[in-house]
Amino acid sequence: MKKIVSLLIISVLMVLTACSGNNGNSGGNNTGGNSAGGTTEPADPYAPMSETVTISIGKEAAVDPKLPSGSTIEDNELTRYFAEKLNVKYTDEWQATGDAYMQKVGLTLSTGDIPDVMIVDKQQLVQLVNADLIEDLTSTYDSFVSPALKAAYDSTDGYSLASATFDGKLMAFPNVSPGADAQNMLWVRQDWLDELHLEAPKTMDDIINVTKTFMDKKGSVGLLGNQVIVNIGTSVFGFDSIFSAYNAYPQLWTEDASGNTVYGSIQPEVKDALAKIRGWVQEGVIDKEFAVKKNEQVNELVVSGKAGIFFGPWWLPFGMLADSVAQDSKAEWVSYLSPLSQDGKMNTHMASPTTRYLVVKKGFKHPEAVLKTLNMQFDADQLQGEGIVEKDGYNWMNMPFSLLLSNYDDKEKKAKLVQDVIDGKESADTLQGEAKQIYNSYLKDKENPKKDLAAWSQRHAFLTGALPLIQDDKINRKVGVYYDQTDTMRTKWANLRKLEDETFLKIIMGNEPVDSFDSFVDKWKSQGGDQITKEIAEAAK
Amino acid sequence: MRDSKNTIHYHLMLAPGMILLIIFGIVPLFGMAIAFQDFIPVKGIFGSKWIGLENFKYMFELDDSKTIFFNTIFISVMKMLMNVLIPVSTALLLHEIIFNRLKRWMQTIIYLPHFLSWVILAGILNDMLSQNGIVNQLVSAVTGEPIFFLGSNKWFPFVVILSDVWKEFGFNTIIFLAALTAINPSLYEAASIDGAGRIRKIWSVTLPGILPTIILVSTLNIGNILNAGFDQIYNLYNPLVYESGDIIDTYVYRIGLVQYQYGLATAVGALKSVVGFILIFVSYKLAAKFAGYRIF
Amino acid sequence: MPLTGNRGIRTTDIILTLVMLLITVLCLLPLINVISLSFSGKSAAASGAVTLFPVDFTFYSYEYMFKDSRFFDAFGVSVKRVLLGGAINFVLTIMMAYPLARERQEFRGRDIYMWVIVFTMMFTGGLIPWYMVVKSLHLTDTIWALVLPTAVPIFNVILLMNFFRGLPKEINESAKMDGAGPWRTLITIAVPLAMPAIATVTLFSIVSHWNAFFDGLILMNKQHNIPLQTYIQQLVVAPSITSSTRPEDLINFSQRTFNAAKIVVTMLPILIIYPFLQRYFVHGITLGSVKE
Repeated sequence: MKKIVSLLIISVLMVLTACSGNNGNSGGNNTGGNSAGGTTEPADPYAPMSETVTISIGKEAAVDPKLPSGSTIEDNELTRYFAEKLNVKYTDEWQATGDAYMQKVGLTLSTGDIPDVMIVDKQQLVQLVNADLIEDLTSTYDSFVSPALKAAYDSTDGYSLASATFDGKLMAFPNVSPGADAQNMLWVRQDWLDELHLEAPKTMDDIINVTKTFMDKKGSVGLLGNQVIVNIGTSVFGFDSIFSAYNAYPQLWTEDASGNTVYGSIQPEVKDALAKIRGWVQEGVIDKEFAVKKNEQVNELVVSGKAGIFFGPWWLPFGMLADSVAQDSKAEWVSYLSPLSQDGKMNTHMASPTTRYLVVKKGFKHPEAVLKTLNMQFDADQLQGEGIVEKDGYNWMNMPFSLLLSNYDDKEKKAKLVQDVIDGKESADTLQGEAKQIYNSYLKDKENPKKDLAAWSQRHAFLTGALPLIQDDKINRKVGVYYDQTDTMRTKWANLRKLEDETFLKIIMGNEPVDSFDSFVDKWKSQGGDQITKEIAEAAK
Repeated sequence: MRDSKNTIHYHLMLAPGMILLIIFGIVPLFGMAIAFQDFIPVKGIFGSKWIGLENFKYMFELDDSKTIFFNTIFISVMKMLMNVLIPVSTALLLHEIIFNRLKRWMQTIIYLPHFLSWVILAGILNDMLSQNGIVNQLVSAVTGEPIFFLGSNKWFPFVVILSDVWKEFGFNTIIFLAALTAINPSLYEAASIDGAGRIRKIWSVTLPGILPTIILVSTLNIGNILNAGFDQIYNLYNPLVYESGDIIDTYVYRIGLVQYQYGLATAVGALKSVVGFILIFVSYKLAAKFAGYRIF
Repeated sequence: MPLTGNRGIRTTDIILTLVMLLITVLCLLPLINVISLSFSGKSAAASGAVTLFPVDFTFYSYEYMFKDSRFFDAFGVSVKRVLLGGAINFVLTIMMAYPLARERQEFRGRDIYMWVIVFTMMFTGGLIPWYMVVKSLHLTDTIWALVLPTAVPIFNVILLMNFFRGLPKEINESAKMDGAGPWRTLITIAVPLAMPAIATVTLFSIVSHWNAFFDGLILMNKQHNIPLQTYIQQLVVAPSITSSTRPEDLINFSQRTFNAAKIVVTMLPILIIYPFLQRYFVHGITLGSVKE
């Protein structure tokens, strides 16, 4: 109930803001049959099309569709449901998975026959906009977006739609990935903490002390690291949290105190953080082989019980931590909002919620059919396919369009809903879809702890991993001002990144003195960094 | 008269293959134009801007281009040398083995590492070369200090070279073994009659017998000189060893992560092809001139 | 039966065999590790517990691969391409290597063909034109896309040519005197004598077709038309913020055991075929009538 009310409120507020701030019309020069003047469909986000519409798709297929025979990627219970409800026929022009999908898109663009609907990245979107090959979707969006989908887009504070908007026109439907993925927390072996009568670490110094005790008493290796020391997207074992604890945000484009756009990696705070990390490596508190190990090898340490403290995202119980528990049923993993910076909050960088865009070929007569599909996809996904799939396993990519749509705060919100039920604040029948599944996993795991690892994983990922992220008052979320590429980056960025990666690692490992940071900053600026900073500032406006 | 009659047949034998080669090997060469363009997929080849040698210049003007080229060539050449030496020796060794069934098994097994992916091998190597791994246990026993193999610019190239040889020596060994079996056995008999021992026979009969194949394989490999092994290095390297391990392909790959540039990638491919082809041609001419021997 | 003729087994034989055995064992150990990994439990593998023997023996990774009907589709495609492609390679390699092995005097123009072929081996137009050519011939999504572009395995052709060249010239002379034309000579004389080399290039061709995955990735549009390696390659994914795989799906994957199973499946056919081809690696047919 609360959820629906808040959704309504948000939608109303957003509609009001949209009406005032949006220069809605498509600026009038789209050719034939588009939604601005041509459609006779009633403005209902879910109504079936009056005549059957066929949509050809450049499809990103799931790696593991979980489909029994009788269902294919093109034709399964989900696609049939949508086809029926909306009076649309979905055909796959071609299918590809994973990285190959982007390559296939590139090839399709170069041979020129693009399907009605495709999912592209930012650069391809820019190319398509410049070549005038895709539909203007502004009025389609205004007329046909469902409240739920709108709320999802708005949960990103307007970032998603803005990144798909060119000259005031919405040229694609952006995706929304959950923000939780980019926020690292501290994962610790609670059973070790209890055994050694240690308090949960709060500051960076606490973390180091706990690590030292673990090394001493439990024979563990030190704090774990990753050769990719910072990753704005997903950073397992990365040092992101250490940097942000000292107010350093490498690789993030942010604003400084005076409002100028700056690049996080060249700020003075980074130098201090590097010096600290270097000290710990020298002491041996951080496993010095982190720089050469692959994630697999580092995973090993966790799973085999040789490591008890590291940084990582909320979803780790789904993979590595489940393995750890399978190997040692005494293992208890808990995540903490740590390290806390001086103001008592945890600092974290945020990633771009949008990296993929669904485009509609220019001249396609019924873009509203596309949006209606997305409306329904969002709802179906929230329910995890409940009521729709029976024999097929549920995989969101079996739906017609492989565009990830979620609320930005999806994970922690769902965790909170479930936790409220557990605490008795709400009744269990308010839960739907994934939240219901999580609650069931919780019950299952409570009954027979760790017997069903899938249940254990889902319960812990959400209730242990994601739940702490709901505490907005304890987290400082640093959002970047811009996440995409600029012109000069094409030619200069690879070199600048190489410079940065080499310098940082060498400083940390002790191969170079901390002061080499200063010459790095100079080199960075002169080898294109300044130019790029200017361009980012422009783009971010 | 008879010759020209045969010639027709030779042309006929070559015809089907040549037609396919033309369709799939020569026609696509028009795509090399992309190397000279600022190619944007949507615009296609006819719509993209021509920028002449810009892409090529870019590669050479990079800050680290000297290091990158040096690494590429060094690693490549060392691999080529070892990938002839070791397989030849192994082929010779196998040839001398008298236990037939065992020999066949060994022949098969040494080919199998070829099928391991670098993803999995990188994991294995990581384990083996870690501070407490097998190799360092031996090293520590001797010198007292473990070596940071994968993090040191001194050692990294050799890890790359040796592990690649280990993985691929089986392939060339097969070729040399086949060549060995083609040597006329009566030559060995004649040598025995002259009183030659095992070593002598290898020196005077076997090696000269497979020399043409050795030269051929080496020449073909030289064409690959700018391909130092992307897959392997990508899976093994890290920023600490960029200095000695970053090769042309890994660098271009990282450029592609920012924004995939078809023009640049094609230009790099063209560069590799040109350099490789020139080297093959030069080898051919040298062999023809100084040894009177035609490789092709 | 050891091949010692009438000299008996000597110490050097034993030593040489031991050295070769050592080399073989060095190759074998990681392979055993990989095979064991493929049969090990997910978490045991992840903890690094697997060395030479499976831990928590399970068929999980193989089941995961096989249970999907796509596996058998892909397997079928690969078998088709190995047979069809392998056969085409076989015929074309022989048919091209033989004339190229002729002397300049006997076959003028041979040099031109040779250099065109070497040129084609070295130069490529890149991904886009290759794709465009296949597409414009309407071969995409058909078995021919997997078989025709690689119909001429240039490296193999050159190798076999070199081998033909090494055959004694007297063979051709006596064939000519018997009145045999080039085709007869090729089929009845040159090919049998070149069996070791032909076995070699056949092996390479089969391996190449079995292992190929990239063409399947790019040239096939529908998932049920992709070959085995393409299918297997795409089954391993690491989650990242830009990919569309959700971390929730991780629970069913174990990359290590999976990667290992991939490799075993890749190696199997070779293990079966190679020993079979090895019987051709024997010293040349007795050239009875040819005396120096």
